[in-house]
Amino acid sequence: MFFNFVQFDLKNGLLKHWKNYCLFACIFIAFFSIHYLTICAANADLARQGEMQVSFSVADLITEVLCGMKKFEYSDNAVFIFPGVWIFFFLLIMYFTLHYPVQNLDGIGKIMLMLSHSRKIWWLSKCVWCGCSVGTYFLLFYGLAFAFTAVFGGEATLIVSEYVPNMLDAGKYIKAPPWDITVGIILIPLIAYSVSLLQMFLTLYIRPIFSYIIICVVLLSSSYFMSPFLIGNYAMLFRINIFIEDGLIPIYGVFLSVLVIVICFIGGYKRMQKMDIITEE
Amino acid sequence: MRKKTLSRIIKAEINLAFHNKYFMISLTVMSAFAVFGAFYMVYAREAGLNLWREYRFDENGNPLQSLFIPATTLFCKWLGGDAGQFTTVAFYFLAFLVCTVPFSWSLLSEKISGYEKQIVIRTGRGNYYFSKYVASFCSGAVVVAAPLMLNFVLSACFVPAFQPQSYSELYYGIPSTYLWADLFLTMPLLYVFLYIALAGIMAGLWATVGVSLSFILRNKVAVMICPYLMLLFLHLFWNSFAGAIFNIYVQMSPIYFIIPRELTFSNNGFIICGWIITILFLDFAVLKRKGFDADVL
Repeated sequence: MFFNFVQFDLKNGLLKHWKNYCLFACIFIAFFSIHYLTICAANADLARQGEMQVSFSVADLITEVLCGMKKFEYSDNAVFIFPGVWIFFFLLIMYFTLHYPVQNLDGIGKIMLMLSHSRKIWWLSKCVWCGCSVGTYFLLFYGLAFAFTAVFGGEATLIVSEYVPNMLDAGKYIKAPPWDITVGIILIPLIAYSVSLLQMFLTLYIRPIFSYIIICVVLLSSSYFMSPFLIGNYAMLFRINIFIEDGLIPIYGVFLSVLVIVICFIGGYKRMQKMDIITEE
Repeated sequence: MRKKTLSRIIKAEINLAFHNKYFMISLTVMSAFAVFGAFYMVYAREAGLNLWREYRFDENGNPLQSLFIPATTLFCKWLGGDAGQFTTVAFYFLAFLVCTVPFSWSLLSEKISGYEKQIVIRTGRGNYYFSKYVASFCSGAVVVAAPLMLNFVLSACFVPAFQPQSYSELYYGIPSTYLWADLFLTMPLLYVFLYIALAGIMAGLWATVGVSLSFILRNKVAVMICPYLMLLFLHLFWNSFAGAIFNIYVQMSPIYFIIPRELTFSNNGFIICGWIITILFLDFAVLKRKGFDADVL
């Protein structure tokens, strides 16, 4: 029964939306191309000055999107520039995982729930679907980063090039190289999944648009306040201790995201048990 | 008769736009940022002044010359003036998302329920669609402009409105190239009201993009979120890459150019007019193709 539900969700909530993934692929390629063009322009300058040219790696492409921003310190004259690429990357997948569960519950999901006599399976299946959607999104992103590097002659390594922290403004107190982002590329999808699950859980109580606004505020406040309790911080490579001396410890991010996942899973299950699925809009 | 029908339907739609729970919640959320912003600012400003009071004399007993006092004027401490405060950041970041929430979904909702057909037959397409656009514009504008005004009034209750001084320009973050920058030193109140109006107009216009999308999309959530994601993509593309690549240092993104102080690039009146014309043109093009030329039945 459970596998039938999962199969149905994956078919209707994931495979049928292949066009969205094509759009995501175009956006990722646009990000990578801009990084590549910036490197080409820098290399042209370096060649004119007779200096050694720089190359790029898979890690550079990933870091450009997932770096987030350095710690913001408020002062009287400071202005906060939100990390546009990072926040857009997350809001895109949050939007994609926002309306399928609600849409399903408004339509065929009701019939499936009644036929299966199990609300638990419905909710569990949506949790699996959410994980698969986020996983596919990140796989596509990482896969395209590797493919782009292979096509344009970059280095297939997860060590970030030395010019990158400077180029992306990682702040003053950065660690000495090498910067290996392997931990980051495993941690960030987990964080994205927990935030996405939190959003899905909230849609059981409030309208999807307000749940989306709450997630926007969570992500924005994570970029504004560097705090181990704001989950978005662990999804920024420039906030964890890969790059900076006093950065957040990734394992705490794993604990926090597992905690959020467990709370959302149990909370969602409890809510589903009591939810009036017939009259609820 | 025709004019009477139009004014009646506009009145009815505006009434609907301002009396639904989406509008109430959006207004409450934005007002919460405005109110917290005012109180947080007052608290932080008072702490700064206390520190200044302790050290206002040098070792010879002479008063210290400080740039701090003019820099704490109302005109650079209210929500729009302090671009480092979290409430300011959150308010302007969410403005273009929240503006579509009150009423942009209404046309799609009525299309799905079939109510659109009924009302189009009775009032005519032009009147009906035009009233939807007007109501969305008004609700989107109010959801952004009213909390800004509330914050300004609240801040004015606690912070004195010193005339900004040219020697403190460093603290204001408004270069001479910034739109209406000369007004900031001479008529700061007018400067603030102009920027509140600009934020309201841009938010209102962006809300109408949601109405236009109702002709294309079939999902209420998409109608509210897609315009925002499009704008955010444009914003990051310009601020992170294009501005630097093309060596054009002008702020193209509405998310930043409605803020009354400079962030990354200076804003420009022509760009703002360009945006207004583009949105109006897009709305008209979609309305013509998908609204007037399409068969409603």
